[in-house]
Amino acid sequence: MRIVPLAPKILACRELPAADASLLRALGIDIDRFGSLGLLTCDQDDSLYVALDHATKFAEVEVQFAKSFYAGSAHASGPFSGEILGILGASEPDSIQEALIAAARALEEDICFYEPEGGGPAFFPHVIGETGRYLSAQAGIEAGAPMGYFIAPPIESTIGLDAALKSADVKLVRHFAPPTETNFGGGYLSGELHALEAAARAFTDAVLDVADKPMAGMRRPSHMRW
Amino acid sequence: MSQRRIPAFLEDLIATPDSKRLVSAYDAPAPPAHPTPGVEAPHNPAFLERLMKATPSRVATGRTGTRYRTATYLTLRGDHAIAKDAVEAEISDELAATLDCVHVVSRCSDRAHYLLHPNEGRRLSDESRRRLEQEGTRDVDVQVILADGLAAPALQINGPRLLPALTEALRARGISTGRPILAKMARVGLQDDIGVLLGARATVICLGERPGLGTGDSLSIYLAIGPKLDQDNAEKNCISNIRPQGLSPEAAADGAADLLRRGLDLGRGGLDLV
Repeated sequence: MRIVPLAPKILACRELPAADASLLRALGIDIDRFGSLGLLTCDQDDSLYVALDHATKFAEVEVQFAKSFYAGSAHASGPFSGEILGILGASEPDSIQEALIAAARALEEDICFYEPEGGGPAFFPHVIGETGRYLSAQAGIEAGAPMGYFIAPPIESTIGLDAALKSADVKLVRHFAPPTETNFGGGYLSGELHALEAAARAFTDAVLDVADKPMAGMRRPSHMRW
Repeated sequence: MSQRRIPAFLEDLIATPDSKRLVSAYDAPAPPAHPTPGVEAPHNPAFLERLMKATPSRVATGRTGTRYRTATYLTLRGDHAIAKDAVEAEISDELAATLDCVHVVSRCSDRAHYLLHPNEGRRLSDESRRRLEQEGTRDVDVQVILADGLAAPALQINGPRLLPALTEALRARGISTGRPILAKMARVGLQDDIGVLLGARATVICLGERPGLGTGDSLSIYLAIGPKLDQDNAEKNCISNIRPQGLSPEAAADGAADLLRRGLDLGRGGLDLV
């Protein structure tokens, strides 16, 4: 089974300088440290999480808010919603600009979901060579360490993660059990870069196997065979 | 617009593969024109000029607000592009044809693989191992290896002058060399594998350095006495910065031959040689 990349799309991108103090407080943002904000929505939540993390390596920004939306981008609340809102914070607007460009470029060149050619489950077998400050903290690993970020629909991700974990010397450091907001599942894996790449391939092969034979587990027990 | 990059571990699954990235042809960088100081109304202009003459680094470039000036920024981008091109470039077939060498390659399948997996660049491929067993010269004093390292242009530019100079300098000191080797996708450690395989008393590998801003043409010579696999760098000697703006290939060859003579006489190299 062959696969095609699904290019993520930034649906809206706005700067928000000097946001209202009560709004910042409500969002849990430290008003003294993050006077400048950059807001992004995207039609692929996991791609944007990785892109936001990538941005922290390029500019003095911190991810201040990043949440997926219920049911995913196929059921978005509006044309500019997609399935995630990410907010980057910095002390000045130049850093926000650098970060937004870095995130957009990463989405354009390196980060995407895949799906089987001709349609099927979308999945995310992503390996980050060096994590930034955001995802490393989310995963509880050292900033700069490599990380596997594997996401797929519920049954694909469960079978896929198992295959990934058995395929190489990698560890599951955080698991996202379905249902999540978007009803996908998956997890963060730690290990050496080459091991994570082998695991990503095993995850992909397992997801494609489920997509190819979704009912393969339904076999008649021996006492019912005649 | 830039193209999407597919990770190597998924490449064979992709239904409509992007066309492979082209390796850009590398032109030797022009030496930088002498920059003019960017500092407005300097307190001590004479010192500023001396400072700038003393280094090719970006000093006294001035600023606008907290940022670079446009000219500084563009030069920076250009210099960065030179470094990136150098990393991606490969030894040209023309150069390979002009040098009378045994051609070998490391275990890396392509440039991207080579850059991501340093260890694979330190061992010969099985095919190269067989070829070397047949075509290589055994039990020489010094096995000379030319390689791309992290900047093929460095070999491209300095290699044709360095190889004859080095061979001659070694011969003049009574050191036998045998047939040189040209190695592709090679790290310094490949000299250990080759040296052990051929039973050489010492090896030298001449390869492109990790490029810095604007320097994609700098070659280094690593000398290793008494080859063994994964030999510690502290047991090796390095002559670096062989490039048009730095050390000439001839001077480097003489220096390397002197070090090798002493190393072979004493039977040790690296820090112990000093």
